[in-house]
Amino acid sequence: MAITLDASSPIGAQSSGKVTSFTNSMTLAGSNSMLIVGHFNNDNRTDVTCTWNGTSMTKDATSTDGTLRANIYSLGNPDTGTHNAVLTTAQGATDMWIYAANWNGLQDAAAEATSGTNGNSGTNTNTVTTIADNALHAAMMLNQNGNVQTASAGNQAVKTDATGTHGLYASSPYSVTPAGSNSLAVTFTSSLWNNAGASYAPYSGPNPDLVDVENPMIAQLVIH
Amino acid sequence: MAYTQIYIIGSKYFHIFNDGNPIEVETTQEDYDQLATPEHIDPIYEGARWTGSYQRNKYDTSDGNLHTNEYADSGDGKIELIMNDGRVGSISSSYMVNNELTDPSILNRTGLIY
Repeated sequence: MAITLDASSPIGAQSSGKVTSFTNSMTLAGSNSMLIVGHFNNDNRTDVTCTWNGTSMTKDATSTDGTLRANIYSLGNPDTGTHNAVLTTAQGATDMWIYAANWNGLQDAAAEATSGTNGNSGTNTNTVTTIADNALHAAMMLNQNGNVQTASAGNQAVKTDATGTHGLYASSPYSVTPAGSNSLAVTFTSSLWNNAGASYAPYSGPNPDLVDVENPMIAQLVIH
Repeated sequence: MAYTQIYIIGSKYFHIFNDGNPIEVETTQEDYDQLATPEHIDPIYEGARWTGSYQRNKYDTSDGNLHTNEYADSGDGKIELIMNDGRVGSISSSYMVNNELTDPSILNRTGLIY
């Protein structure tokens, strides 16, 4: 089962002013899905949580440049339909951003590798060591000066702000093969930068295109 | 320029709609909180599309908002105040001495930091 982006899902939004909670609606569709949320905030808030339709998402990676804090969250097999993603921080953050997308064809499992890094240069790089062949690598990537970012080979913007200065990026193509060290990079005019990324294993369960669960005999015939 | 210190006394809740221009409508905590539940009922505003909602600090001012020449201590070594582009910013409390900004140019800060 190939990894595909749920085209109905990607969102990007920014709160206005200092907020303690930020709610946005998304529409998810498909099966064997993984909802991935990239977030960053001013004030370096470390306590930001994210829920989808009331279910807590897992914070897979985080990093800071000292002021801006980037996080990436995931939730396997999220509720489909139109629901709300809610970011919350107790003390409030001066602007909270959310970039989120849903992929189909991923295993309902914890991130297999995670990485959050920061630096001061013209290239923001997030590197993980994928474990499963054909895993997805995604990352929230930004630079403090808000300079326009250009995705390098092997990386693609999934959802960014209007001018492309930050956002959620993913491996290009989505499936990383063979497994091993994989980097997502963006380039820009030099600035402090940071990222939070993770890789997610491809769906490895029964192939729903082949198995007829209502007729096991047919399923066996196909499998054998 | 002298500033007046105000205080955070709670939260305010808002829905954001768009009919070509952003529209903010204040709501209640109960209405905001239900958005996070599976039983959520999304906000409606005739002729506009709901784009999101947020919760922010409420201040001890007449309208509960932060205004120019006012600041509030966040309690984490930072203060909140209005930046020169009109947005609420967050800067180190060390910039405020005797209700005066030691470096007013901090209000011109650009990039992703506010």
